[in-house]
Amino acid sequence: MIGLAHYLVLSSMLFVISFIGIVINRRHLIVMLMCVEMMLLAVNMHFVAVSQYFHDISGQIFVFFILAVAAAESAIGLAILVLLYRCRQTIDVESIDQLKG
Amino acid sequence: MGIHEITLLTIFAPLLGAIVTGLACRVWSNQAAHSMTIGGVAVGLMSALYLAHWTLIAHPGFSDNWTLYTWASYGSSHFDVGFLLDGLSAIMLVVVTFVSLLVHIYSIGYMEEDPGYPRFFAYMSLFTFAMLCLVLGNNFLVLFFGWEGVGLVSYLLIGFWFKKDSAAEGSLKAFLVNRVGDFGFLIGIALLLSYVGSLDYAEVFTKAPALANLTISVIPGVVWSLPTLICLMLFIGAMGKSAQVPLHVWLPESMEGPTPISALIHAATMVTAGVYMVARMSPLFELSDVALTTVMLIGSTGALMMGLVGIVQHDIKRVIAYSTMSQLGYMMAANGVSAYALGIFHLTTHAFFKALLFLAAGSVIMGMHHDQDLRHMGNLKKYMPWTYAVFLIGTLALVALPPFAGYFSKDAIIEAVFLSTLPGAKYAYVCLVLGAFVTSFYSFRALFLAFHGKERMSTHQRDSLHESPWVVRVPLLLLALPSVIIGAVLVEPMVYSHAGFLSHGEITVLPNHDVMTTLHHHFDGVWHLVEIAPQGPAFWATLLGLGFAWIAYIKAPALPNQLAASCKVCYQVLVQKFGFDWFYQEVIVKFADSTSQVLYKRLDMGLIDGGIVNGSGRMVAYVAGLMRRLQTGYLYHYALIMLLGLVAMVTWFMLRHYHIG
Amino acid sequence: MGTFLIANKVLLPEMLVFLMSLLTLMAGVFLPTRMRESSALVFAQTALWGAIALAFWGMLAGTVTLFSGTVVVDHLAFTLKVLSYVTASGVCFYAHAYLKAMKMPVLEFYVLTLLSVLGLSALLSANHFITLFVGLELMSMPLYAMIALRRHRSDCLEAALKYFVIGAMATGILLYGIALLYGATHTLGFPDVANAIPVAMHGHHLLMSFALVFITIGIAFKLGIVPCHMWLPDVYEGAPTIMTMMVATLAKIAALGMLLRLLVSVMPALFAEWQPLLMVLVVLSLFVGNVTAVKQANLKRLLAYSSIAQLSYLLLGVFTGTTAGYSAAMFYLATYVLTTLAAFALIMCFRREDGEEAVDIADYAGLFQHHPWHAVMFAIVMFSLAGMPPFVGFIAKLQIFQALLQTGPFWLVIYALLLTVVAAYYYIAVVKVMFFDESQTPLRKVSLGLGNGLLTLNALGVVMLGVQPSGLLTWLSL
Repeated sequence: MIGLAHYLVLSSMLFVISFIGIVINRRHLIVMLMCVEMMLLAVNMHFVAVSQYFHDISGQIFVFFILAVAAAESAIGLAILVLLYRCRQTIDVESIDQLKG
Repeated sequence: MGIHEITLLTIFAPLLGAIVTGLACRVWSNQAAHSMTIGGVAVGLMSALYLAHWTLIAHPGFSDNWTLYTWASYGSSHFDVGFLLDGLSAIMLVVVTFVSLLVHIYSIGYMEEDPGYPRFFAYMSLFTFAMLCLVLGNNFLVLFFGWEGVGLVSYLLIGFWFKKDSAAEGSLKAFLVNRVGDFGFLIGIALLLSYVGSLDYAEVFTKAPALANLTISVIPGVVWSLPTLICLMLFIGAMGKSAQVPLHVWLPESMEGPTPISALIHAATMVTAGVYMVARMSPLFELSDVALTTVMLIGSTGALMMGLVGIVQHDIKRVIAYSTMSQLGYMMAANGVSAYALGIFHLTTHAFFKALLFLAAGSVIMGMHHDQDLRHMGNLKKYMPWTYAVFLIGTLALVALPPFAGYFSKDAIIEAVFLSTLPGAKYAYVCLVLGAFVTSFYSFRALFLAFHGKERMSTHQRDSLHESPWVVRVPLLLLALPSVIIGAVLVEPMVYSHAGFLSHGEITVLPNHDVMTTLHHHFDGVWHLVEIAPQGPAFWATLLGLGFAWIAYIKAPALPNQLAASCKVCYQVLVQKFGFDWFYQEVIVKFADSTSQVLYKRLDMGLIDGGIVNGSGRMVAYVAGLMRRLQTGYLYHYALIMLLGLVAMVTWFMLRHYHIG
Repeated sequence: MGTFLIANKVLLPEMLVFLMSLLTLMAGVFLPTRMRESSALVFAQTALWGAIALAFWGMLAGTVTLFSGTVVVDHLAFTLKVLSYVTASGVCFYAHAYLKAMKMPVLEFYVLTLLSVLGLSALLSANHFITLFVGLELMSMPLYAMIALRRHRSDCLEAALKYFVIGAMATGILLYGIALLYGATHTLGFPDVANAIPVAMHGHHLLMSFALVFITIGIAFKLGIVPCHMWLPDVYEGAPTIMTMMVATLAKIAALGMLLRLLVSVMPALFAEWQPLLMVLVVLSLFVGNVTAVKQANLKRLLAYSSIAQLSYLLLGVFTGTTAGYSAAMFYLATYVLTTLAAFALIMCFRREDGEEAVDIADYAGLFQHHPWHAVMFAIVMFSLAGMPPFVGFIAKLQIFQALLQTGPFWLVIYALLLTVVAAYYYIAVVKVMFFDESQTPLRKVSLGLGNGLLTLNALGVVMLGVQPSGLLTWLSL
């Protein structure tokens, strides 16, 4: 029987994977944006699982808001990405180190 | 006008001069600038004299504690801008305004060709204002405002010749070392605020005895008595401002500023703020033997050590700077043995003769075309007789030969320390007596090197050597007079009288610390004091110092030649057989010289300046460099730090949870 | 019906800001070109000052809870909102001439600023996690976009990207914390959560500690303190100065609002957990901020590190857990915002020979000789940041330390004061360069238009509030 604990473990694993993805990814910025997106999805899964288990609808409403905001967020992220590519002809994470120190 | 209005006039007349001159410094002529500021300070002096007469002579014991306006109030605490006029502040008022006025006048001559002339005068008046706030405040807030204000203006003035690299560095160092002091000072004030709930002197002093038995845990496991901690913190502030070991390193550096500034700020007024503060806080310091002992030990150590370092300096201003630090040590030692009146008395006499010495040195420097090296001088008495005369008076006052001003204050301090029962008082006594010898040695060394002996300056310098103009000479003469007589005049009312300037509750001394009463028994008129001078060791130490300096810097260089010319036998006997000169020159002087060099290079420059002050600075810079390298610019590193922080905290809570539950 | 009217009344400021942002957007479409930019400024200022007036009017109704308890207007929300409107208005005045000079799109700037302020308002009034989240995102996203407004500058874009990625991550962490809390309490409204926490403490103590850690990290990003401080210097340096100003002020108001709302109102039961947590953050941030700033050659970067340190003093106030401490933090925030506005406005005043912004400290060598008044204003700002009397920064630090001394620990007071000594070093070093160093090539001063007068007022305000702080102190007391 798949219970609440399974969902919560899955969501926390997703969260950790996405976090680690951001840290170890040295190549494409796109991957980084995907990881950020995945982080939010992990949160969504947590909310939905808890909400369903305890019969409290507000968690699921929250999920809608998160989804909407995530869409807006990736729109802005991609827009910045496009501008950056036009400017530098590359979107390697390792090449973005003009500002430091 | 009532007393309140006159008090305000004293404080704000210099400020007005500063503001008007500061705003107009681009359009005004030099003459307008100095007239305005000198006018402001002169008004300040007039009203200060009136206040002093009112407080000290007409109404002895007069005390006027009032609030001008309430700065901020919330809850139960309120911060006021208020002033306290009593014997202590009246004395300080006169000293500050008098020296300030003379230095203003002197600067007309000294700064004549400087492009920043009006700005310089504005800064000096501003300084006077801040110093008056410091002295007249009736609570810690005004004190702190003045405290920071004088620090700030001193910083601006040291760096006045900002084209000199060393000047800019010197000013920064002065500011930073003072910040270390202020840091302690602020903790002290904050502790008082949180335990007493007020910053008002009167209220703090009334409630202070209740603090005596409280304790505070400084770091977990170490418990200190609260008054001790408060006093030590306040004293750290005083150490910074009054250049006490080991926070003294900024004062020699500050000599990069113009000489009038050295006289006003770094000799007569600002550096004595710490001495004034400790005396003002006497009700607090009396509660803690530990704090008093610390004050005494640090003061007396500085008195000897800074004097020794003064022996090897070649810059005439630096010699006087080290002598200032040494004298400040005497004042602090007096405070440490609860002879606050003596500390203030020495502060007063010192203000006059040290300002005189600095200004005379400035006159020399002008004559020498801004060459300050003693090795380039010699026999200046021929060219600058006036300057020589006042420098001689200043030196005699500084080495404390009777009947000059310094004698009355310094000798009494040495005696008071002798009578003290605090632990370590004997050490302090030895330091101070040796200090008298050293003081005499370096003072006469400077005098002889500059004004006597062979002429070592370049021909170009010699040709243009001249006595300074009258605008410089008049302030010198006006300072020379009090340097001679002020000690004899003030010694009775300030120190030995039971109804004197400072015996109406201005300072508090507990019976078990009271050394002054015993001193009073010895007193039998001013002339008697002069007569008994040879009974004390300090007098002989001074003469010994004078003799040594004379032999080392006057006799030895000249004697061999004379002797060799007149009588070869005598020469052989004196120089080679008995070898007194050789003995003095090679053994004593070289020994003293090398000890001082070691002190100066290793301890002062090496350990304290280089190790502690610069070292901590370097350490911060080094760590800063490391931290900067952590900032790689890579996004994934930034994310990694976040992840690590998150993991660390989660782990921490997990451990905590399982440990407790 | 009565409730509805009250609802209208207390939410009028937000409505006005929202309507005016739309109106500004319309102005871009329908107004002739020459009128667009100045009308946009007029619209923005009308919105902000109207909102301030309406906020005061609305506050007459007292504390009000709206929309099934998801929105609350209380003293905390009210004061911080007014502070943010005033700040935004100042930013807009400073921005006007700067935007044109930098060839940045003007209309978009005002629209996005108004939307961001709207989000901030919602965040400050939030009484429910959904409101909080939506407000937070509405505030942040315009900021991401605005940093990228100089589209052809790779450093601006890099700053925008860094701010965006780290910001999105922080949002994710915050949300995860909320989700954990939701798992323990099964509710999302603030009062309900606050009530549920003591009950849930018995079974889910560790879970709630984790939630607390995640939420605190989320707020730490907005505050820009350790361990979420790494983005801050890069963004401060790379972003156009007007945007640095905004990130340094509006985002910090949001952070303190969240801190007081979440830790103090919602999680007072977890005080024993969040106090040591904040202590660790403060100790680390004070060190990192103050020490790293020592070696900076770029003025904006220096101010970035200094802001890490400044904000940790603010956090010290919250750390005490007393009303005096919270009030001190509020006052600290207000003074920090005021001083920071002046600092960045001053930087915006100067250009190098080649027309670039003068951001290196070395550029300002000898500023006093050529632009004495601006050098004096710089000195006022730096001294205030260093906490010297009589400037307002002194009063602010005094408040914090006074509150901290009441609760202890004493060593933390010493530690914090010791680092103010280090801080004095780098602030004073800047003043030293301006007053005492020899200038190489004189800087070109550009006019800020209306901002010129405001800048003088702003700098004098730093002095005046230092001399007469009582009014502001009382108003900001919680």
